[in-house]
Amino acid sequence: MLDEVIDSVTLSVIRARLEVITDEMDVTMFRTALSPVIADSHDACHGIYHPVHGGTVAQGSHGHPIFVGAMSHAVAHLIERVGQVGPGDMFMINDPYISGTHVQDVKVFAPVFVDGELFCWVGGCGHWIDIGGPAPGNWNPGAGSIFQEGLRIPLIRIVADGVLQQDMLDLVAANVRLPTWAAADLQSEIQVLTIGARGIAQLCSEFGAGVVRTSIEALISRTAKMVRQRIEEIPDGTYSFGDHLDNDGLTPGPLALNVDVVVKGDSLTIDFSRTTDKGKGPYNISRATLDAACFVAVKHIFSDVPVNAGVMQPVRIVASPGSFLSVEWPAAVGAYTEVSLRVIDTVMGAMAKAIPGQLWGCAFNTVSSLVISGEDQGKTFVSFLYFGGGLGGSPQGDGMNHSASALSNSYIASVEMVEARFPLKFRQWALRPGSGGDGEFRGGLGSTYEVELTCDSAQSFFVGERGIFAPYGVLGGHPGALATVSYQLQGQSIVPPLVSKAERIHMRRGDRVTVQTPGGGGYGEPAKREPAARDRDAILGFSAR
Amino acid sequence: MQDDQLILGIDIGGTFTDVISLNPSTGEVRIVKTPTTLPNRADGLINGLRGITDNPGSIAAIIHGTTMATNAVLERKTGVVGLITTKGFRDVLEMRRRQRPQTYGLLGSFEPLVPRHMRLEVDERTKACGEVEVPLDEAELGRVVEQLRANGAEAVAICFINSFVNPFNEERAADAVRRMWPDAFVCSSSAVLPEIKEFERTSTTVLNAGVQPVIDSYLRDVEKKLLAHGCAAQLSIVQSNGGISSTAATREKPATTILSGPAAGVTGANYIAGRAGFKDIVTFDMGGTSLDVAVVLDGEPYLTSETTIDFGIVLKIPMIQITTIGAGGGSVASIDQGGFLQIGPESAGADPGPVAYGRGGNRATVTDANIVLGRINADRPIGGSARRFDVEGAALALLEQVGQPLGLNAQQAAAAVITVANTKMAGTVRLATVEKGHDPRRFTLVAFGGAGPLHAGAAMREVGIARTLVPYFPGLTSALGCAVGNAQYDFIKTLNRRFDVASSTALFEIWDEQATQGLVVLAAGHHFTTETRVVCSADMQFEGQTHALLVNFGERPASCGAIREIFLKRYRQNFGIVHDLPITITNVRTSVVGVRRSFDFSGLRELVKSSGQPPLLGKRPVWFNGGFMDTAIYERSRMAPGTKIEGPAIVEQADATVLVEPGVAGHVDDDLNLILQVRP
Repeated sequence: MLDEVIDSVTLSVIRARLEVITDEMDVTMFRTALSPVIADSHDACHGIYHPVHGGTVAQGSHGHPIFVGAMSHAVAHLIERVGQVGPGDMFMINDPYISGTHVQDVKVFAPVFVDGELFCWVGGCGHWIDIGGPAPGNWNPGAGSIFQEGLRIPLIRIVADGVLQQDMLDLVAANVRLPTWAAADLQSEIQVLTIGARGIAQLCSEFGAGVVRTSIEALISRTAKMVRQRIEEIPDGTYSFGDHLDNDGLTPGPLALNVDVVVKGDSLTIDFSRTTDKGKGPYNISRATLDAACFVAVKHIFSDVPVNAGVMQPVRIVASPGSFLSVEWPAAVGAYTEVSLRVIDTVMGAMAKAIPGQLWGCAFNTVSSLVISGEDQGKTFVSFLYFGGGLGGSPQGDGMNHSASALSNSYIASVEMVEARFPLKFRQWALRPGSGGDGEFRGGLGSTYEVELTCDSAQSFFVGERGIFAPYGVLGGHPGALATVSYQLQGQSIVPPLVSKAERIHMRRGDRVTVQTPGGGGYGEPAKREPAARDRDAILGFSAR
Repeated sequence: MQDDQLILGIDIGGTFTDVISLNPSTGEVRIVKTPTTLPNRADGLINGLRGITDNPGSIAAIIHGTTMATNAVLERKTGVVGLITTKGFRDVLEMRRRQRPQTYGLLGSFEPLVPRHMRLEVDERTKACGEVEVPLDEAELGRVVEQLRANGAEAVAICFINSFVNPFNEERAADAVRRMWPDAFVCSSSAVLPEIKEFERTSTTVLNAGVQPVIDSYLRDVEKKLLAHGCAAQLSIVQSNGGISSTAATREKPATTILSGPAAGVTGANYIAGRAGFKDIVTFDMGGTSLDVAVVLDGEPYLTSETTIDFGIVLKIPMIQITTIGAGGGSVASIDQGGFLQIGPESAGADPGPVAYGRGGNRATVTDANIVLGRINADRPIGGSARRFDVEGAALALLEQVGQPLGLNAQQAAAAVITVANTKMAGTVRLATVEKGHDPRRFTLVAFGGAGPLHAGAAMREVGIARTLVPYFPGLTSALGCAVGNAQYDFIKTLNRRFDVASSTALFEIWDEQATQGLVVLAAGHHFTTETRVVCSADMQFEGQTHALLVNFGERPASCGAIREIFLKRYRQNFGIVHDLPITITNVRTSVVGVRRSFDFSGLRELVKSSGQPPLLGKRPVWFNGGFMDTAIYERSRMAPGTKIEGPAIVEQADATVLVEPGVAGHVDDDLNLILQVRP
C-alpha cells in the first residue's frame, strides 16, 4: 500500500505545500490579469495535474469548481496527443469538446520536469472577455453551432523551448475584439505557470521527488477512500429526480433532465440515460463538461474532502450519446454555465432524497450573463455582467441572500467600477423581497438589477435560465421565485420571447434592462416556520410586498 | 531620580493589561503586567499605572493599543447605526460582492452590521463623471432621519453612489443630518474613504459609524479615570498603520483602530530589531488562538489597504499587512475523515484552554503537545491557574485523539502535532518572504507573544531565515510598540486617470494638499515629535486592470519619469512581469509622520539580576527528532549580555518559553535580546 510508505505527517505537509503553490498561482493571476472577468470575478483556475492520467492533484482555492474536471480532461488529451515535450514548452487550448466549458475559457499548460523527468503538469484557465465570433463577449443564445460562438483553438504549442510563438498568438489576437487584453492575459498566465513549476521544483528539492510523487498518489487514493466511506453511509438504492431547462435558446419548449443516482455499497453511479433531448441552440455541454459538473455536485455534497482526482474514482457517470448532455462538434456550447448548473441541481435533487435532512433547497443557480456592447467615444466596449441570487433553505437555517451559484464562488462587479468603465448607469441594485421559497427555513432572496445605457447605441445579449422552471424546494419547502428579464426600449417594456434569453437587442440612449434573479428553494413545510422568523422577515421587508 | 516625563505604552489584551514605562532622560524601563478588567478595561489600565508610579503627575504621555473596535465588530456589539443610501441601493451592504463563506457546500449566513430596516434611501444621484444628476431631496432626508431615530439609531452612516468622485450631495446630506440631530454620530463615506467601489466604501463607513459610540464612550471613561487618578498626561491611540494618533482624530475615524494591538506589536518588534541592527524582519506573534505574521523591509512595515474582519465585513484603511492563521497554543489537533492530521482553526482559547490547564478542556492542543514533549515546564505553568500542568491528561488526550487513529504513541502524536503546526506556520512565513521573491537569508524572525519563542526556531530553520530574535520581554512587545511608535496621519483620494504629464500635475497637487492638511493635524496632536516626514504613495495599475499596486515613493518623487520607473520596478519585483500598456493612477495617498524621540535602553540591562548566579537552572528530558534528549534549562532573567548557549536548550522566563533546537546556537545582545542562529 502506498499509504504505508509515506507517513501521515509528511503527507499533511506536502498537501499543504501543494495548496500554497496553487493559491499563489491564483493570486498572481488575479493581480496581474487585464480581463476583469479574471481579475475581479476570479473566473479562472490554476492547478497541478498528474503526469500519466492528467487527473487533478491540487487546485487553487480561489478557482472555479467547474474547471477542476474540465482541466484534467484537457491534460489527458495533451498527454495522449503531444509526443516529445521539453521544459520550455507550453500549450494552449479552448476546444470545448475536449477541454470542456466554452470557447471563452482559454486554458494553458506547462510540463514540470524534475531531474530531467516529466513530474507533473501545471495549468491555468481564464475566461477571456471576448474570443471573436458574431456576438461580442460570446454569450450568444441564438448560436446554432460553434461557428456562431467564437474562435476554437485546438491544442497548440504556444511556447516552444522557452520562446513565445508569436505567429500563433498573432493568429488568436487577429480574431478577437480586445487583442491587447488577450496578449496581456496570456503573458500573465505564462508567468503564473512559471511560478507554479518553480514551486514544485522547490518542493521536490526539499523532500525528494520520490516522496512528493508517492505523496501525490497517496493523496488521491486517500481522497477516494474518504469519498467511498461517505457513499457507504448512504442507504443503497436508486434515487431519481427530474428538472428542466426553460428552452434551448433558439426554439421554445423545455429540455428535460432526468437522473437516476444509484448508490451501491461504496460506489455511486450518476445515470443520465433517461436524458435524451437534443437542443438546437447553445444549451448543450460536451462530455468533458458533464463530468466536470458531476464533480462539482459531488464536491458540494461532500464539501470537506480534498479537491483532486480521487473524488470521482468511486463515481461513474453515464450519459445518452447525442443528448444535450454530451454533444460533439459542431454543436454550440456557449450556455454550458446554465446546463451545468441544471445538471448539478438534478444530481443534488436526487441526493436530497437519498440523505433527506442533510441537503438544502435548490439554489437560484443561473449565471444570467448579460452583455452590452457597442462603441463609445470611438472605442469598442464589451461589458459582461452576471448576477447573484438566493441559496436554498437548509437544516442550518434560511438560505443566504444574494450569493454565488454552484459553479463558482466569484465576486460580482461593483456598480461604480462598471459605471466608471462603461457607458452604463445602474438605477437599482437590490434584494428582491418575496423571492425566497417559503419553508421551515426559507430560501435566500434573489435580487433586482436595473441598468441604463448612457451612450448612443449598443447591442445586448442575455443568457439566463430559471424563467419557466423555478428552483425547487425540499421536504415540503416551496420553490424560489422565477427569473425575469425585461428591456425598456424607448419607453416600451419588452419581455424576450424565450423568457430567459435575449438575442441581440438594440438599445439606445436611456434604454434599460431589468434582471430579477431567482430566490432559493425552501427547506421543510412552511407551516413549521417559527412565527418569530416570519415577524423578522416582515420587519426587514424580506416578505413579498 | 527625575520622574516627571514618563512615556507609557499600554496594550490591553484579552487576559493581561501590559504597561511599559520609559524614562527618556534616565533610560529607566519599568514594566507591569496586570489582569485585564472586564467589562471596564479602563480600571485595569489605572491598575497598571499604579504599578508603574505613585506619582501620576510624572506621566507625560500615554499611548494605548486597544482591541475595543475589533471586539465590538466581532461580537456585533457596535452602536446602532442607521444607513442612508442613494435610492435603489440600500441593499449594497447586505449583497456584498456575492461570495459565499465557503467554495463548496451551498450554505452560509450573513448578518450585516446594519439590518435592512435600518437602511433607508433618499432620492439623489451623482454620475460616474461627477455631475450631479438628481439633487438631494432634503424633505425625504428629513423623514428618513426621523424614522432612523425612532428605530433607535445612535449613529448615521451616509453612502451615496459615486460620492468618491463628487461628494457634494453626500456632504449636504451629512450637514443636514447634523443640523437635524446634533448629538448623533454622523459619518459620510466620502470623508471616511473617498475611494471607488460602493460595497467596500459602505462597509468601511458603517463600521466606522458603528464603533464611534463604542470608542467614544471608552475614551471618555479612560479620560475620566485618568483625571480622577490625578493624571493629566497626553493620551494617544495606536492605529492599524502602526502609527499613533490623537484621541480627537481617533474619535472621528475609530475604524483605524481595528488592528491597533497587533500593529503595535509590529512597531515594537521593528523598534527592537532596528536597535539590534536588523532592518528586514518577519514578525512572529503567536498567542493562544492565532499566529500573526508581518513583514518589515528596510525598516518599513509592509502595508495593505483592505482586510476582511469577518465574513462580509470588509474594511479599507491603510494598515500594516498582518497575515493571521488559526495556529496558536490553544489550537486544537484533530484527525479528519481522510486520516489527515489537522491543526486548528478551532481553538480551545483561554477558557477552558488546553487539557493540561485542568480547567475542563478535553481537546488536545498545541500547548498540550509542547507540555508532553517537555518543552514547556509543567512545574512552572504560564497562563494556567493550576499549580502544575496536567501532563498525564494532556498525554492521554493526544494518544486518544491523534495517536490511536495514526498508530502512534502519545509522545509521537505530540511530535506530529508540533510538526504539522510548524509546517503551517513556516508556510505562512514562506508565503510572506520567499514566495514574494525575497531571499529569506536577509531576514530576522522576531518572535513574541506567549508561544512565538517556542515555534519561531522551527520556522527559521524550515524557511531558511537568517536568525531569530527573542526580545527580553516577548509578552510586552505590543506595549513597547505603543510607547515608541511614530505619530502618523494618512490621507487618500481617488484620481483614476491615465498617468501622463497632465495627470501627474494633478497628482503632485493632491500630494501637496494632503501634506498641508496632515501637518496641521499632526501639530494639533501634540505628540512630542522631533522631526516630521511626509511619505507619498499611490495606487497604480496598468490601464484596464482591476487590482492596483500600492507604490510607496517615500519622499515626494522628483519627476513624472521617476514615478513611472519606480512603478515598473516594483511591479516586476512583485509579479515577475510588466505589461506593455499605459499606466493608471487610481488613488493618491500621503502619510504625514511625526518621528518620536528615540530612547536609550541602558536601563533595561539593570533589570538582569547581576547577582552572579549562573543562568543554567538544570537539565530535563525534552523531545527532539524522535526521542528525548537531556536538555539544558536556562533562566532568562539571569542571562546578561554576552551569554552564549547551545541547543538543545530551553530558556524559561515569566511569560514565555524559548525553544533552542539542537544545532542552533544563541547569544544575548546588549539589549538583552536572545539571538538564535542555525549553527553552520
